[in-house]
Amino acid sequence: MPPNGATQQGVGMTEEEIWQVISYIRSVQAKAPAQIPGNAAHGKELFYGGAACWACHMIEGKGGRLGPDLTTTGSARSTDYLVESIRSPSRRLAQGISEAMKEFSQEYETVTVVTAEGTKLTGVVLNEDHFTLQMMDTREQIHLFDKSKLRSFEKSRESLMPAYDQKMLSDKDLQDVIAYLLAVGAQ
Amino acid sequence: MKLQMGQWAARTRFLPTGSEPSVASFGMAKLRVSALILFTMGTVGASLMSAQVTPQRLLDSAKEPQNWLMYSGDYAGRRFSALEQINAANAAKLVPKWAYQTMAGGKFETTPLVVDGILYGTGQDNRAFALDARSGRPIWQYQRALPADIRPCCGRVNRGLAILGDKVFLGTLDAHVIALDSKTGNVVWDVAAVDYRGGYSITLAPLAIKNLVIIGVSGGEYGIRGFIDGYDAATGERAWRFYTVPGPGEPGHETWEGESWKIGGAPAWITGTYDPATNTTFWTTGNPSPSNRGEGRAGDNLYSNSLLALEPETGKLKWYFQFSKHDEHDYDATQVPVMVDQGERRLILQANRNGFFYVIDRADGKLLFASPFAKVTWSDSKDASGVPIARADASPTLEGNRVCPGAAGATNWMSPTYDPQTQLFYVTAREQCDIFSTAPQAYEAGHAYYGSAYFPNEDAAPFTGALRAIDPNTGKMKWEWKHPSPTWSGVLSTAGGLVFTGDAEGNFIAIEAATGRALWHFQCGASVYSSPMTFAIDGKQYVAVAAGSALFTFGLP
Repeated sequence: MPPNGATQQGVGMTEEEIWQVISYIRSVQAKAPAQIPGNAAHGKELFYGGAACWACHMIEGKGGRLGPDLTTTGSARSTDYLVESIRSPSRRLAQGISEAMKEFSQEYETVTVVTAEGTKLTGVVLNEDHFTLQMMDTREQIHLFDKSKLRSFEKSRESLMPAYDQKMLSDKDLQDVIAYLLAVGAQ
Repeated sequence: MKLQMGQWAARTRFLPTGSEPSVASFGMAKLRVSALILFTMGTVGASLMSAQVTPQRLLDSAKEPQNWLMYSGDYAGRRFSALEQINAANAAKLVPKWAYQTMAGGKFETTPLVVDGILYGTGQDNRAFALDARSGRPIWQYQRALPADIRPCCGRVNRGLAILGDKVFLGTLDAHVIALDSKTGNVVWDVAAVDYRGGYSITLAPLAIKNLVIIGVSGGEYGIRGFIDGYDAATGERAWRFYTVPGPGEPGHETWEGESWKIGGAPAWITGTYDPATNTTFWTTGNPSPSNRGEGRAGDNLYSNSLLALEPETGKLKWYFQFSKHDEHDYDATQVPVMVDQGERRLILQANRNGFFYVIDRADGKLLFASPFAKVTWSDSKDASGVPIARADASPTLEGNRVCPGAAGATNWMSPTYDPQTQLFYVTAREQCDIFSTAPQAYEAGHAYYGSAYFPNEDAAPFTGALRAIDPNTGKMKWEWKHPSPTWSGVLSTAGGLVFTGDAEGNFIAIEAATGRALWHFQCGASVYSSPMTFAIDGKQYVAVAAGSALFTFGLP
């Protein structure tokens, strides 16, 4: 039963198993580019300006909290992954909290609840179990709910992040934003 | 050199002292803590029965429901308790009673035993312990010094002990079988079942029958040749060995290509069951090696992924039933084979890792029917006797082939339960598919031998799980309790009309057996990787489960 109960993967692994894991990680990780195309300075302007990435993402302590902090993303992910995450953010949701013994990490799922008082809230799932929900709403307020006390609870794998198509972000601008992420990640 | 820490460990003071730190982790009110301590102190003086656990007591386990005498609770493997003090009417009031911390990392998979007020369990890295079952206070603690180069595939785990006479029996990660004095934790005998450097380990709870201790080995990921052993409980002398991969001249040998039988796998890593009426012990086996590549081992690969009916005194095979022939998806059949009687019919029920629920006549191993209890894509047809057979295009490929259930299976080693009151079979189901890929791999003794790499299934929705109540007459699901993600918790049923299970999110949950409605839950703080049990002392019922590094017990206020 190799891949199961993933919490103990590092224990008792032989050299070839370790290499299997390494080759997999390499397949999804950043391929060190010979040179970064795009204009990182312009990418930074877009990030904190026209593209409004900062509204939900933080880089080096500046920005929003609704989406993942992107400070190290450029060093941890391939360019293809970054492009996909911007053009089609719902295709692969980013991973959130990972608990020590839990097999699968929480993902940045979208949640909409209506409280007992009738307040409707939309945000991201910070964590969840059968009985409770921990979420952050779009105003960055954390809410802790007993699911049974909610009037309604709905989860979606449609990311709260808009899909940045060509109209919202040209290929050139996309390249600049990625150049910025890679430049920050390389620091 | 054998290093045994039991003797000094038994005399080592247990830290930390004082009840507050551990009890505080329950989040209990201090008032209640005080009450618990007073209660405990008031009863500590009560004498404990010290009668030995005779083979007859094991046969008559139903007569002493306050005790939990073997891994699955009884020889039938039902994980059902006749205790009913905790029931559907009061389960909502359950509170934590005590916790015992192993303080070890990794999965804590034990199902403890309880005999006359003393709880015996195992922990990670071959720890074993005996506790005052009223208070959780240790009586002795043992830990085996393990070689650095052991290679358990899936964690440094152990699922529990067997007890017989004045000894408890432990299988170890370095493939030893050890008898410990149940009063002191001292080693009485210690035998190497096999050289662990060949990829062997033992993770299951042994099964005691008559004067024998029966074990099976893990190592299906290392190209072992699996076996099941019987040892004399008094001396540790091996009485028999049944190789789960037949050698030359033995029936079934022809189901292996060339020399592949020598490294054919078929480990036996979950505790069996025993039918005294026919004097038959039922054991199950795991995948053929390499787990994800059929090349080089053409044939059915007996007795991998099989149910075996053995004579306990000799290990002689009476009959077998193979669930997944020539398996390439790691569909170990190592799920407890549960004995259930329906009128004249004597059955074995098994919800198999391959996604089918099987009902088998335990007189002769004939299949009565098989029906899926989770999503299945590896099979879409059955042979003339109703046995599901693999699709030709379900094999792993170099590029990867998406198949359900995935490598972790539709269920796994976590115990199911059969409740004779509801007459339902309850099983943890995992809805997880995987992309199976394969590539040639040379065998090297003691090294991982999968013939594969696994790729996570990225385009699918998150994996889920469920506790499912199955009617064994039809295979149809009566109800399900959905888990947000797949769990590794087993299931306990009780005469109180309850089933207990845990989830990956750390909840331990009491569910009404008839309806599937949750009545109570407790957040243990880490995923449950164990199968719960229940016991009683001084007329008070407790329910116990291992989660994180702690063994938790619960009872009524």
